[in-house]
Amino acid sequence: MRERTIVLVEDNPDDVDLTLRAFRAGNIANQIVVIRDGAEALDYFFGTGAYAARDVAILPTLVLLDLNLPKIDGLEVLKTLRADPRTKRLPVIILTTSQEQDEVFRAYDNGCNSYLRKPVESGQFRDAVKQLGLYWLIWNVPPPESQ
Amino acid sequence: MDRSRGALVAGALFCTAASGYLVGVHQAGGGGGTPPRTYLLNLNLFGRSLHLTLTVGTMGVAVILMLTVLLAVAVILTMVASHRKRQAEAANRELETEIVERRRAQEAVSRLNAELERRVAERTLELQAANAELEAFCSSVAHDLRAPLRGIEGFSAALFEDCRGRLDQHGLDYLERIRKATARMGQLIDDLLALSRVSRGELRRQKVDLTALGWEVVADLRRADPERRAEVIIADGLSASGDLQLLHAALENLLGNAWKYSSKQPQARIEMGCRGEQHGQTVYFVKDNGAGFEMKYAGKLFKPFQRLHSVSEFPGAGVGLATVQRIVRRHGGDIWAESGAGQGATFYFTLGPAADPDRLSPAPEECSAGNSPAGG
Repeated sequence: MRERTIVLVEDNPDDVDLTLRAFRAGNIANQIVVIRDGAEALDYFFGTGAYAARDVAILPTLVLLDLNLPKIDGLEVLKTLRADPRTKRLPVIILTTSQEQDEVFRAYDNGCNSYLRKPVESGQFRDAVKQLGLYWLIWNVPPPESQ
Repeated sequence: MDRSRGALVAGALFCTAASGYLVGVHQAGGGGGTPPRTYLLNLNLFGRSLHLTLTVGTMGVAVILMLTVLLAVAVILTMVASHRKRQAEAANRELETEIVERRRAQEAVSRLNAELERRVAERTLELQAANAELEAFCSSVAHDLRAPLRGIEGFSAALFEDCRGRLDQHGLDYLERIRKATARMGQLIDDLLALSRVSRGELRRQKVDLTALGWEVVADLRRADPERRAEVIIADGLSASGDLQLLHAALENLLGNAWKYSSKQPQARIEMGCRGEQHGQTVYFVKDNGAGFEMKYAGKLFKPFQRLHSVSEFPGAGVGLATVQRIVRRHGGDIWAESGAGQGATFYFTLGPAADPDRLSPAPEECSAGNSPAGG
């Protein structure tokens, strides 16, 4: 079963607010779950810790994952998601600040679906988020739910 | 050595052993001529007493004397020979000592060499560690400096959008300045990271079509600034042996500069080509008819964050040419410029000795056959 939720894994509260603002400006009305660190993200996806009550069969439509996260970094979260049959096909978009070649390589090597660098200029950031929402929530064909 | 010492000892022993003394002389009868004499000799030969009774004439005495003299000469010669021998032996010993010393010196040298190699290996490791640290630092600069900047930019944009009505003209102007400064700082961080990026990583040489690369860069410039009219000439057949990504960055900066600094010309003209060879390396150039600069400031051109024009005149952080210089130097080449205020600028660069110059760089005729500008 799939909710039309978007999971945003981001520790910087400013970035959270600006991303949510950009979604609103892009008229993206989907529910957005904000997660603040890598450990919490894994708890969410695999129904452990604070999310023990969550039905893990319900997958979000899209995951926006920052790389530089407290506790467990984004790359580790991505690897864990890809290693598990339940989440291996989940669309994951890296939404980060760095564009260092090595980090981009590592993200793709570990199976991210897209890599987006947050632009400093807010207009560009808003455009990027809007187009991303449009593409991944409307045009993209998600992986079928039965494995 | 032992034998000669033995002979010497024997000679000396013989001398002492053969010492003897005359016991008595008996002269018989008178008569004509020299009468024979009888000598009673008591000889001490090798510890044994020997009593001899010799009857000899005057000739006999002469013979004995001569024999004694010969014996003495033989002994002296033997002594001289043995002395020489000793000298030679001493010289030999000296030589041997010297050989040993040399061997020791050689061993010391090879030990020092080994030590040196070990230190080089150690330093290389340290350098690699420092490089890794630098990379981590750059990555953290990219992350950590840009994040707050995005906050400043994003919230001043939010303030502008949401509270525009409550701000007077001054307030709006300040907001605009905050956003511009933020954008500039973002660009600065990006440039700084680009500059550090060209010094890191492996240089992967391959044959690069500089003509095609140049046109690609120009197409990007035109796309970013479609209103801009500029005549661009890029010589055909420019190629080089180099790292594609780095050369792309170098041309981006050089052609980008030409594009920027000629923007105030009514008829901007940008040219890229090659001008023969220098020290076996192809000399490429990028030339514009823009603002140029005074040659007395040329020393500042390639230093990061040094600018020859104000930001309001021509925007930029002053990192581009420093980046280009690092790129060409990593290729084993160099870069220099010729200009005058208001006379446009020409940047010349080389990319080091090509792996296969015949194949990789255009033939000199090709360079001079109308592709190269007359001036230079």
